[in-house]
Amino acid sequence: MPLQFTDDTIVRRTASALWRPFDHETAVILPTASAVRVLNEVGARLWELADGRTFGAIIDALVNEYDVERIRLQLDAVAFLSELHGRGLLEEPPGE
Amino acid sequence: MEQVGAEESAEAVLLAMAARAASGSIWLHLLVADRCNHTCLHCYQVQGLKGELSRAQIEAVLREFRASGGFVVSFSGGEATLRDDLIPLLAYAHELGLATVLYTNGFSMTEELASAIAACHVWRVDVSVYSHRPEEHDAVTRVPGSWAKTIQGVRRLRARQVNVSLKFTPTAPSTASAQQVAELARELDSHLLVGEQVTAGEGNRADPTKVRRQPEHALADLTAVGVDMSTSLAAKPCGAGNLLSVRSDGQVQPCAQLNTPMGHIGDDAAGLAKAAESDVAQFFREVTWADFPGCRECDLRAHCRRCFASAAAEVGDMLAPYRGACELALSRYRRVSGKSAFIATDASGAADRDPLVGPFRLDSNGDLQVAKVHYTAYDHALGDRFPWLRSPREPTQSAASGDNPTYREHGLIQLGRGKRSGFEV
Repeated sequence: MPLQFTDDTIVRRTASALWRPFDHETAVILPTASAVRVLNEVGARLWELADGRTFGAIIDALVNEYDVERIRLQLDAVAFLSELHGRGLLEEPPGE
Repeated sequence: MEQVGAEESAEAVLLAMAARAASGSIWLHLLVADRCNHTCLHCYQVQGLKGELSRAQIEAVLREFRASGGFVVSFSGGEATLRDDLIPLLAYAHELGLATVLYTNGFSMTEELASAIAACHVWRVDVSVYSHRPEEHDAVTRVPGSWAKTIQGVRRLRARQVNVSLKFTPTAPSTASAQQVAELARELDSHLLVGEQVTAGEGNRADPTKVRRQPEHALADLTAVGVDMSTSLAAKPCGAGNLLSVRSDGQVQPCAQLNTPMGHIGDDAAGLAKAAESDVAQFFREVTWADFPGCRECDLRAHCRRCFASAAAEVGDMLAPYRGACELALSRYRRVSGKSAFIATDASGAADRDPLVGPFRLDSNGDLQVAKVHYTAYDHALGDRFPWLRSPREPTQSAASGDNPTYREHGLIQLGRGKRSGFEV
């Protein structure tokens, strides 16, 4: 189930996660999981932005960089961040 | 927590990403110990003769690798856990932001060591296991009781939530199939990695391959054999070029098995950078399937897992077809296609060849014909430019493995942790 995000929700990737960009994709390793997670270009950009800034700030940044409607982007971002959270890749679970 | 497949998964994913992005070396394989507490029949190494880098030298290598864009470092040996400073090295690599992998036989995995490994955030520990049957594993390692200690080591790591993969290389005299070892992995809440073939040894030694098992036996019951049917001529045949190996004595080389020197780590902190400028590094960065005479025309290329080191040892030419790879490709093709793939020799020129060495052409029935190897002017120019690709076979005797009775008698290098010198034979 997608998590709840407001514009003020702090989004921070897990501190122990290691990642490396490769052209248009990024590999993410979590020491507690054996698999490598591969993020596409937009996912990688969101991951990069998930440094403790708010969800609203992240959406603002992405809307300026990609040709996409804000509401569409918000929905996709919530789904993506929920998946990251489910895989232990977000440091701080977004508050209700 | 299950993953059954060929020796791919995370490493293959990362190396493929690096190859697509032309990122250079992102995986560093550090052979930190020139000693082992096992004497495996198929071991590719010559141990006890090379020496070892100091902790300060290894830390300098790690810093340089990280600064150059490195992402993963694997620690191996010999047996890496025999080094007193392994834990500080693992912790230092993690502090630098590198994902760390430990290759070990698990034999020395005490409760204390398992806790220390967990505490320094090791991403993955790959533990060599040769059979689900203790006596078969012990016959491969030539250390009685080794299976029990190794399995105990795995349990200790898993009790601390450390990711563990059992690394199974089908090696005679073990008769275990990948599926049987997969069941053991499931019981231990671990993953399974399958190394599908025993590779040749350091110094062009072919003797480890004498315990290579027939692929159709070794891979029986393996349910998921990864096959990249899209393998194009522009693809690379293996990870060499995107991974880098530093031998225990500091020699930088394309992979652990291939002792073609690219440079040397010493007191010079820029050893990796210099190695990256070598002609060997340039070749491995650029080599693709199109550079392999015969293989580039082979219809089984998508099933092939050829190895530069094994080719050098078996036929004296890193780019030539060789039987070990061709047999494995045949076996994989037969498994995937479900065809018996009868082999006929080509009356027009390949009839005098070993019918189990490619290139192979598929006919409309799914049967195979052995074809001729066509060499071009480009191939000859490549050989002239990189003469080390075709080297005479000068096998180096191994003190740790092999079947020479003289070496076998004196070759059991049994070391406890912390014994830095003085082999106990």
